[in-house]
Amino acid sequence: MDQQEFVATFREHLTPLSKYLTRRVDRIDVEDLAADVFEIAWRKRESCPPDMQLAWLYRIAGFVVANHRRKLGRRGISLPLLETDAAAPSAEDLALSAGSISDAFGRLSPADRQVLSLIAFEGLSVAQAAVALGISANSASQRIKRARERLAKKMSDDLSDTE
Amino acid sequence: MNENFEQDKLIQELRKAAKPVRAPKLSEDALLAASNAPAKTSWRERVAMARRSTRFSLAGAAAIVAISALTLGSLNSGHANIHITLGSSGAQGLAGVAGSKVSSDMIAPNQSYMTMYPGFNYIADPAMSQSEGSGNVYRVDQAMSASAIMKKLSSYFNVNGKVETNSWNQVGKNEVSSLSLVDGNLWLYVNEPLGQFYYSNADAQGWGPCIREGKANVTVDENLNPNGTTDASAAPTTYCEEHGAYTQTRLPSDSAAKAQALKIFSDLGLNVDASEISLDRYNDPSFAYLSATASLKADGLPTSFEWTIGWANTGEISNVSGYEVKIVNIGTVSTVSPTAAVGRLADYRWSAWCASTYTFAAAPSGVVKSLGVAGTSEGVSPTAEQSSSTSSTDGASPPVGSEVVSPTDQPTPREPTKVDFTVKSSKAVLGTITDSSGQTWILPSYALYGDANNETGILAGIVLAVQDGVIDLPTMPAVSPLLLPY
Repeated sequence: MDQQEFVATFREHLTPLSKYLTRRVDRIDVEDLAADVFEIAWRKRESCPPDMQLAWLYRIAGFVVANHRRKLGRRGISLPLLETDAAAPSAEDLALSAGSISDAFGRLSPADRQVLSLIAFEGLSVAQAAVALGISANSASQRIKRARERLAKKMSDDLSDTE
Repeated sequence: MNENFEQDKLIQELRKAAKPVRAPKLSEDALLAASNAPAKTSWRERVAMARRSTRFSLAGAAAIVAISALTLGSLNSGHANIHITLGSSGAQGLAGVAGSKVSSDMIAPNQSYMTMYPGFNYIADPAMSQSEGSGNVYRVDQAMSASAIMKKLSSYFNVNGKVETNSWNQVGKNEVSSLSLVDGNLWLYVNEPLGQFYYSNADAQGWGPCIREGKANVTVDENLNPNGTTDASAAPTTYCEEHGAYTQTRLPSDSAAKAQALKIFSDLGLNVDASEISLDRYNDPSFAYLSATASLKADGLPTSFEWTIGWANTGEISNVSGYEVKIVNIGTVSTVSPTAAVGRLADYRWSAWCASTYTFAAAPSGVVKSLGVAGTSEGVSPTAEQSSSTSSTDGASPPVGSEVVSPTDQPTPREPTKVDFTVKSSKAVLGTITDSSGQTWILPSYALYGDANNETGILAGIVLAVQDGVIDLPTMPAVSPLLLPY
């Protein structure tokens, strides 16, 4: 892929990537991190799966966001086990008025928040989420289902606590 | 786009709850700049080049570390003169100040504590100790190469296949590697620079009958595509999208789990007593999980370096994780009193990480919410912007968020409302930090607990206890109030 093809291929993903990053980092860092993402994408461009460019960009962005947070916190060992999971949005990305779902989402593990956010916020299909997470479609499906179950259970528990 | 979960009500509800995103408009120049950037030399390549250089030697490498991270001087009154350069200056620090929401993401699963929140007035209870003391400083090094860790673990867990190397991660200025090995549903990961490893056996999770199937339009199975590429011409892959309930839970008993954990930990090189293993059990008709966790210790105190074994509902081990590190005692430093440490809570640069046993404080769920998100306090009504944004979010049009703004379009900041947080007790703990070069250290620290907002026993945070001067803090930028959600 030469420079012209690279620009043509990823041009349409500028806005989705900006939204992905804005949801996860301070807005003033978005442009710098996007530059990092594209620099890595250029270096690794030959490994980009066909027709999965955006999901692949999200995978790179997950690493970049995780590393960015590690630098901010100076906590090199606090990364969850799958690095891109550290890029999960926080509960504060949900509206306060949403109440129980915001609270329940905030109490999920970063891994669960990451996989659910790819589906719900970034609008990816299971196959695309699999690319973004670097796992098989079957594994992605299982992770989504388990995360969804845990979210539902936490909401259900919250509801029964208030009754 | 989201063909698989388009009709899922919970996903739709989650989508509706999300705030709209006002993302900066990225220029196409970012793509041009990226593709014009010179090829970046990897860390391994740089090391290889350095080895070829006659100037590279162990002494040379040590000198680089000494300049960037650590100065060891002569002993002074029995205490080593230790100086560590932390964090970064300028832009990274600036982002960190506005990062209370970021730091909350860094809390490990099932750990809940109050993040360092600029909306608190931290107050030390008069009964708290004002005695200074001393504590040891430890350097944390990876115990063996990532490939050696991978070899040991793959042999132990019988995971076979080709080890893939990923060099996308960066620590300090160094690009470090992550190794992965996928053998069907068995996965092994090893991450530098702390020998962090993770073994996963997806087959350990039992599933109920498949009640709905899904199809992937392209093949993304690593087994079929070991290079991570996809084959668009391949036949669609079917998978189960929704399972029915699985009720046959066979988690081991506490004693059996501890015995098994002791053996595995010992086999892999972590020697602990059964009393040092904590168990966490969860069980319901559709999901069950048991974990056993033990910490690496330094001088008898647990560190944040924890090893964990997990069992899934079949009773089989589903995951094992830990760190292959060695903890090297560097020397002793003087420490401030717990009362003085309270004053550091509001400054993120003093924060550290510690063993999870200290972070299972009685932090009530939703405490961050009850204190307000991003600077608002309870009782403050959402702004009109918030209300309208929330209600106008259309769950039927993923992805969430529709507005892209120019980089110069900044929202109006709002001053956060302050909440008093009275710190009433402290525990001496070992805090983990990473310095500006990427080197990880364990330093004497305090876990501080207190009361706020009618809640008691809340972990206020973990702060370093070392005296001023041991750590070279990054420049503190001018603090700007947190921005309200928009």
